[in-house]
Amino acid sequence: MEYVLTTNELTKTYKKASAVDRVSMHVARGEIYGFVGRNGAGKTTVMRLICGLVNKSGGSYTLFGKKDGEPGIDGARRRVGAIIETPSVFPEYTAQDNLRVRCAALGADERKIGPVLEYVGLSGTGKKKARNFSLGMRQRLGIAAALMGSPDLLVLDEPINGLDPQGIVEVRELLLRLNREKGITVLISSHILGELSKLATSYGFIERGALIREVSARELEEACRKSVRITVSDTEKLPYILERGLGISDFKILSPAEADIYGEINIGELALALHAGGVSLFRVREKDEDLEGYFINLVGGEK
Amino acid sequence: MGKLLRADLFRVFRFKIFYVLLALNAVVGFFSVINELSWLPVDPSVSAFDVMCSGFGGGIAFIGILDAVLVSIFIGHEYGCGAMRNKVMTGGGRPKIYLSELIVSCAMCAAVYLGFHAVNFVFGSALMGWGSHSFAEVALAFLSGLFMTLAYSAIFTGIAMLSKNTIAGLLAGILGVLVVLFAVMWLMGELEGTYVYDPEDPEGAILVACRWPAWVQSLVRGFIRLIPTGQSVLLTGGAVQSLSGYGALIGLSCVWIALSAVGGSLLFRKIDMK
Repeated sequence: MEYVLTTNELTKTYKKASAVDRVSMHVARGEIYGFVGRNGAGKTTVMRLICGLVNKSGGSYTLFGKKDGEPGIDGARRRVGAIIETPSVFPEYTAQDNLRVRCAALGADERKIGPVLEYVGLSGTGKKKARNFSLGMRQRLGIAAALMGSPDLLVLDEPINGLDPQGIVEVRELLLRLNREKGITVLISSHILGELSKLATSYGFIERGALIREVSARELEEACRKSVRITVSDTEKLPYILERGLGISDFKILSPAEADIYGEINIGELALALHAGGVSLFRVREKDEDLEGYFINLVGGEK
Repeated sequence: MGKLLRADLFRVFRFKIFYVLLALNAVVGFFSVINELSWLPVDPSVSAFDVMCSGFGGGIAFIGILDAVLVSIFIGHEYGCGAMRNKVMTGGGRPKIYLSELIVSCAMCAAVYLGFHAVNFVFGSALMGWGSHSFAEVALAFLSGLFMTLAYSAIFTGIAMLSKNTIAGLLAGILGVLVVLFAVMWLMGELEGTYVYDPEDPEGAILVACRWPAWVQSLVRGFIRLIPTGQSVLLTGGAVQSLSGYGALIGLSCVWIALSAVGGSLLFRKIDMK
């Protein structure tokens, strides 16, 4: 698998506190990587580190095959478009002028400005100054500016924060189009986990500066599948009882005393079948997690 | 770096404060010519050279204040809207970003400086001439003032780039200029000595020379020549007596420009940006 971005024990320490604590993450080409964490977990700091805004305290990162500190890292950064915290927009300029400045800095062709503005839905803004844009429009202008350099990687720090539902949908659809039509890899962080679950193809969970887990969307879906967890006297006879007695084949034995049964089941029938098979049922817990529930269970704490 | 310069120049040509300060300094130049012209009947030695001297700061380091405002707002605004962050994120390279800002800031400040002197060269020359001052003297004085302006610009670029904030840059720049100005005035006063009451002559006074050791006096004179505000005071007061004196001021200004270019860009690499 080709990775556009990897970090190896990346660390950032402020005074004696680690804002980023030995983070090793992997963003594969073509995926939408959802970066999930609480306020102050370290998401923005990680993004600042890989964008070169802050100096690391330890570890390293590799961007498009170039390690930080190597001579070619600036060249690798030219393949990145980023929005960190807020979109970088000159409020006194129109959308066109904002992109002209960007083109000048990147050496990009100004003829791309029209098509890019149309792509993000800002082609009709004319002489309107960016200070009069709504937040959603500014976010889209920020994305447009990030696209001017024809990036292969978009780094977006909470791009849907503060947007109304319409704005959220617009940004989501834009990102999906960019990923599917142009093959742009996206690294996106967000608090709005429900939205992230509609976008991301893989996830990284960060807590107190440390990356707790990386999972693909499929693995997450597997882990969040609706199931019933039963605690019994003995799971040895369970496969026979479930398959022959109840016709249930989708289950997983976790331990000599616990098992997960997926899908919809009738608890009453299950209890009777287990009793008939000589297995005592001690406990039944229903599990139906979404991304939010998965995250909260991962980092601990109550819903 | 060419791309960064293009982007920065794009902003300069749309930077309203630049045009306001350019026009302001040109207007100040025009009124300086009028003011000197009014002295001509009383003092025939008045010339465009005197107007030029007032354009070096007018005794209040005016050009320094203008440069502080111009550079602090230009660079501070770029930080404020996140554009500086963008340049770093898209692989602009921190030393190149710093040098581009330095070059553009110097260009803006030089243009504002020239605004005053262009008016003087046109109107002052025509109405008063240059008196007994040679072309070499006029040219070197002009260049000294230009390099002094560039030194101011280099210092304020460093302050603005490292403070990352418009207000901090403005305050440091303007207050710095004013504080240093007062310090320079005080030091020059001390070096000239003080007049004390002569008990034998009720209407007279005795000059008491500066009592500092010679080496301290040399150090202080060197300090005054080194800093742009000190140069402003010297040039405005016509205290530079020789062509080599102008040359020395130009050389000292170049020290600040080099310090900013090298030291400033090295420090800029180290700072964290939010």
